[in-house]
Amino acid sequence: MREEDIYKAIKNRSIRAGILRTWENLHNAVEQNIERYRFLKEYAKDVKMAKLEVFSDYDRWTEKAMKSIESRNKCSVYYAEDGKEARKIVAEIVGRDKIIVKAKSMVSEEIQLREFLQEIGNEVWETDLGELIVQLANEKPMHVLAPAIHYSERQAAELLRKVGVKGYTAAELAEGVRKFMRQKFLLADVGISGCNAFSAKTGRIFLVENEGNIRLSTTLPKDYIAIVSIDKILPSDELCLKLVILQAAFLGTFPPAYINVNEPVEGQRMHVIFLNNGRKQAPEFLKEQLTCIKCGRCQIECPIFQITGSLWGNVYGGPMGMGWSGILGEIGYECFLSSLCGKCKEVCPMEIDMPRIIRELRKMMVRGNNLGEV
Amino acid sequence: MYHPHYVIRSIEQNIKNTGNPLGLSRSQINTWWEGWEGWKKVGEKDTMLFTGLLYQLTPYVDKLVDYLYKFENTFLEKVTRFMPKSPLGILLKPQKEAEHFNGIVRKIADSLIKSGIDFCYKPELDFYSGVLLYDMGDDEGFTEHSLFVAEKLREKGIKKLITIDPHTTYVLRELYPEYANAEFEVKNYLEILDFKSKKENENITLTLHDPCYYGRYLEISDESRRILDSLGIEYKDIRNSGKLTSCCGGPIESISPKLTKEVAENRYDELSKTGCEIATMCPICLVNLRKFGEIKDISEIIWGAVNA
Ligand code: SF4
Repeated sequence: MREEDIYKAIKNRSIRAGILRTWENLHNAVEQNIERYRFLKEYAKDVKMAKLEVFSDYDRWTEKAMKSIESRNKCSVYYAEDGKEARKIVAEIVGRDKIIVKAKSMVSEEIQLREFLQEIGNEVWETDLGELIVQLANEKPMHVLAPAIHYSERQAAELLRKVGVKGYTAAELAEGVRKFMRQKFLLADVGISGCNAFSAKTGRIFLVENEGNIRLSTTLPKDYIAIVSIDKILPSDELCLKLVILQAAFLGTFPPAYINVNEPVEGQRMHVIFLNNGRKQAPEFLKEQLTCIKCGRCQIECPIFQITGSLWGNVYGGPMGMGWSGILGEIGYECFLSSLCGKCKEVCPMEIDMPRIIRELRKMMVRGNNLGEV
Repeated sequence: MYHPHYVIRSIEQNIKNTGNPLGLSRSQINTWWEGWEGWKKVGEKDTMLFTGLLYQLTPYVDKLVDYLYKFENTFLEKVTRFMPKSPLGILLKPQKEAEHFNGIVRKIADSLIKSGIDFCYKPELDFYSGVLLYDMGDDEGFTEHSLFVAEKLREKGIKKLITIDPHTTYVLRELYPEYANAEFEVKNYLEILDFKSKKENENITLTLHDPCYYGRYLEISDESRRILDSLGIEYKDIRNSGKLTSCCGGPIESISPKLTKEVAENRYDELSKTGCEIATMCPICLVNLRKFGEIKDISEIIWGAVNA
């Protein structure tokens, strides 16, 4: 994080306006979901336990996950230790001068895949409406699930005009983008997605969404690349399904419009890249953060994040972002900007103790005298 | 952003020299009991009122943060690193505010007496808890300080403590057993005040800003409401209260006072929407939120109702 980003965020009042608007629209829905669907709490417990079990033996589970899909026809499986290796593998599959449609994926933000693919000479399109807006603005997503949370309709309309989308209202813009994207979907050589959950038993990839663009990005192109960070591995389909339901319910959009279950199919080449990027090496106190399902509730409810958005943090901003930055080895002294107020822990479906994690990160920096020059 | 390294080192140094994070002399800060009427009513007990000095320190912290706010993100930010260790005694004399905050402590002590609670007060044993060092991740500094404080209290046979703010309560109750091997029985004054009366409606409706530590870490938000109920004072709770209360931004004021101010403003806007009088129960919340409008400490309201 650059220090000036904090001051930029303070000045940009549309960040807080957008986050508070989203909070007001969604928090009742989340609370109702929790109240109405009592099974959600049980699901969360099951998923957390299963994830902790997988982390306790990452090597075995990664191997099992890779085997589960390796044996399939029309599927290549890779393992990447870090972002650099993952990008190299993708580059070899894709080549250049291709049209690529991307489903919204935080792990691809983590390894800066879009920028990389563009640099090596491809045309890359984010197919999620919010993510496309962020792409056109040349920014990073402001929230894990609602990347363009800080844009008003008017501002979004202005940005979308860059690609010829006309209109002013949300409905007009959505329709315009749909038309624009349809053409890209049909022309695309490669589709890329992340993964919400991966079943080590069946090799299925679970992805949840509301717009339908993930389905199109992952089924229409001849080549489909899925990037599966190893924290997404779960022992069974049932647990994967529980996880995607949780993710939707805790953002407030439940039931979700689409749950995709992807596996190799006739007529498409599938490439699955398992990515470590710091997860296996995470110190004990960060293990709990790996059970995060990236629902973004801790972000929306955090009083600091409500001012700064994800400008406070690196790839992932806000409270969960501190833990993730620790895992990715990029924590800086932004962890001293948390007030440790504990709201994140209170609202997190996985009950991740982020204040504890943040204080541990501080301890690490203080102890290692790792606070930089004075 | 003030560099955490600088902030931690100066807090650590100041605590070493004077026992408090600002490096002020104790005789300058802890004066609330001078001329206090209740003095006659407290005697030699093993239960001590332990203010942790947070209310008394807050007006000074607030003054300092005012300067830090002005300098943040300007060239002067770096200059503050080279300031002599403790220029605060000269720089900051928040006379009026100090009197206000001393008054709050006095009202809390008076209400305890009124409620029939037996306790003693020993200014020489009333120490800052070390909470900032803990929050900053300086466990070494915190352990050292907590051992010192615990030992002093033990030496004088103190077994039970009555605390008056959320941070000191949390630190003494939850952390001292682990870090200082000290098992004091710690009660927050809001947990023990009991006026055994059912008063008529006082004609005020409050909106409470629960401190994060009462709402979540200690889970004692109901206590203030219990007292208000018994005094016939109404309150209108908002969604973000109790376990879901929202922070005033105070804990990061030494790193980024600018960000603190924005957080506090958001919170104030939210609280003021009910149109009711707003009450806090932590000195840090109080100074941060009152920058945007009138706020009272709940102890002032309780005292007012009891003495009406
Ligand atoms: S830390 Fe918890 S609340 Fe935050 S994104 Fe992860 S699962 Fe959701």
